[in-house]
Amino acid sequence: MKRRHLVRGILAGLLVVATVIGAMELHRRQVEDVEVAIGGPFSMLAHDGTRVTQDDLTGRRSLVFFGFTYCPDICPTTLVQVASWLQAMEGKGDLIDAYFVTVDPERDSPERMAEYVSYFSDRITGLVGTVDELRQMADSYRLYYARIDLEDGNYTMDHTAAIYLMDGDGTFFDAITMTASFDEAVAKLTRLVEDG
Amino acid sequence: MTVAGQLALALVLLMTRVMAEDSHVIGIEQHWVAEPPPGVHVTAAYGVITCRCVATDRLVSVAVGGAVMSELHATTSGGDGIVAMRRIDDGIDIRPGTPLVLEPGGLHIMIMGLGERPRAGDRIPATLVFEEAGAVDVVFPVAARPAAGMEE
Repeated sequence: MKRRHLVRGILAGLLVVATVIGAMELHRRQVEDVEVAIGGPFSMLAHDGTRVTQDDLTGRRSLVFFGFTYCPDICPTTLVQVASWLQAMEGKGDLIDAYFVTVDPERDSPERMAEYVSYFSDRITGLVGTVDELRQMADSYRLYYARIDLEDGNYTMDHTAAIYLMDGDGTFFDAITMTASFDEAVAKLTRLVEDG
Repeated sequence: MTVAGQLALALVLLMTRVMAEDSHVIGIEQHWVAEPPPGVHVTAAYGVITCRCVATDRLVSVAVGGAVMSELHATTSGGDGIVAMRRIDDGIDIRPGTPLVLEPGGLHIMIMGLGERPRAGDRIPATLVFEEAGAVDVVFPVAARPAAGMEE
């Protein structure tokens, strides 16, 4: 019977569509859950020797990102970008604090971070923690980092590259990814200042 | 073979050789070394390498003047937002007509252990070694990283 085949076909088709929609919804919820969970307690030494904790984010708008000074390519590229966004926000960007957190506390001292970040901008604060303090912040920010040993005895670090925007309550507002254009980034920062 | 025939043959052989040499030319443009921040002894070199050639060539190694080490590297990022930097051991193919782009956030020449910190305006000599073309000498100008980052 042709008709029965048709009905079966339609039912099968509907089942596939429903499954896909269900899977997409599940994925969307999972992604949102992860985003909501970014942020939380941390305590780090700023490059000027003061201590910065989660409480310092309250009433401010913060930009938190991770890297290390022995990084030849992506970290300096990101720092130059962040510096240019902050410059573009001049005037309405006074509320924004930018934190560059090292994932390599073994090699990055506060002094080294001070010299490093001030090369890019006086608006960026370098943060250094002990191994435990970095672990705590990594847990709060869902940060992945791993030491990768090189053959010559040196090592490099893999790490999460996203730039997290935190609102006035110190909770996650948005993220800027590596591939964002200058205009997209500035638009997100503007929204952070206005709505965050 | 007559003298004229021998001359003609010699001419043909000579021309073939000249053409063969001329048909495999490596070019590099928009090349620069990023000025490293103070206290930092690692940086990267970038540029666009072209091969005016018939067969695919391969960039196998790089030697940068004054550096302890220079290697071909790739910065990669997955959908999970995690960036990683890895050495490229087998070299990078350059196909005829397809430029090889070394750029921030992608393929680059990692430079370690430059004795004196290079400053914008300096020039650093380097040798790029290709499988077919052999050693190609290049002088990289040093420049500060452009403010607009990767879009430049």
